[in-house]
Amino acid sequence: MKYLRASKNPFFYYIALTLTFYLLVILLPPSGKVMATYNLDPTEYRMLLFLIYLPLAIIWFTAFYGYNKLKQYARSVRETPEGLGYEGLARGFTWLSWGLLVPVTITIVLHAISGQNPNFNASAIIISNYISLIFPLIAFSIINNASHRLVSRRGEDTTLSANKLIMILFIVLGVAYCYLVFKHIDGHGLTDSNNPYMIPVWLIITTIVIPYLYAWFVGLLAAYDLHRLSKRAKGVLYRQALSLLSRGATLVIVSLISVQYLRSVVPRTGHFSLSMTLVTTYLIFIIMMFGFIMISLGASRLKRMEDI
Amino acid sequence: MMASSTDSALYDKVVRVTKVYLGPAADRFISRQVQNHLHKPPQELLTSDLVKLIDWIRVSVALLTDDTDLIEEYTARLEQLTVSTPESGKNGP
Repeated sequence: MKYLRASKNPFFYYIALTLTFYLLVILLPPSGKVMATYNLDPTEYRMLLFLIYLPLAIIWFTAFYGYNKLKQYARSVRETPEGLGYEGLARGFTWLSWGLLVPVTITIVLHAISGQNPNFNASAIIISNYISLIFPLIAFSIINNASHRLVSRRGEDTTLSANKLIMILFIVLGVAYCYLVFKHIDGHGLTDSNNPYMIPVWLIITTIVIPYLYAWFVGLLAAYDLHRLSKRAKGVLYRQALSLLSRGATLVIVSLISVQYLRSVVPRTGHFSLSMTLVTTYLIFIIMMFGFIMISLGASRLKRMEDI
Repeated sequence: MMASSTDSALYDKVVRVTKVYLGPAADRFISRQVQNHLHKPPQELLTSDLVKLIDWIRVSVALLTDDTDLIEEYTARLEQLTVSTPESGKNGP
């Protein structure tokens, strides 16, 4: 019974998954390629990897804490007209938070296998790319539905003409993304899989480029809807709390899009590398962390209104 | 109207003022304050209950914000209801 109660707690999963991740970092066989590149012995390799991945635990914690607070608020307003919208929002951020932890855990296992068996390298890259895509795709779709539900409940609708800025931003983002992705597959035929993504070009376009563009578009729309909701909501204190939540959600969505953007325009190599991409990814993760903290604060304030 | 009679219109007025501060949470907030602190159903709120209710609201809202001006503004608007709802006869001069 005690175990069942614990298993419903997000922090139970957080601790279990984080410990699993760090154990894997320490126990998995080191990559010969990385050790040769940076002139490391296995112990140094593991220490370096462990230290580099250590800040992730803090980022994951803020994510799990944030979605847990949002879930608690959603539960407290379950019976109200906004209940379904907030429940969807909490579910979306749950997917988003798990999407920070699960793909990276699977990826390090796949990379370790491909380090021992070079024939598996292509499969490892393909699986990693798809796993990294599926979580935000689901998360952004759910968040978009939920924010749309919350906004349309107020008799408003997201009309494309009303958010030209989003459209312009999306077009610029999309065109630049396509340009940067196609630069890596330039000169390859549609059925050629001899490219950094290890799959035929037509599959890259249909199963990576288009789904990412879709996920980002619905993600940006969701952020815009939440922003509108917080601007137009009634109640000074309610609006302040919702504004905190909406700004946090926007930071998380935009930073996650940035990380995915960076990861897909700089294709995976199948092994760990110390580069500017890694530094930039961590800088974006710090912004995301602040976003999750703002979500927690906003959701806590909203929840307090339902408690006192 | 007698002081002991129910006054759901008064409850609605309190909720309407509260909506300016708590938005969609207003109805639930006032309902809880009346039930938990005045120990009666929200629809049975009387003008004579307002002073006690406002005191509890002041305490509760202070837990939501540090903005004392906002709390004063809110409670002042609620206090106006005690003046503009003299039918109970208990709070009037």
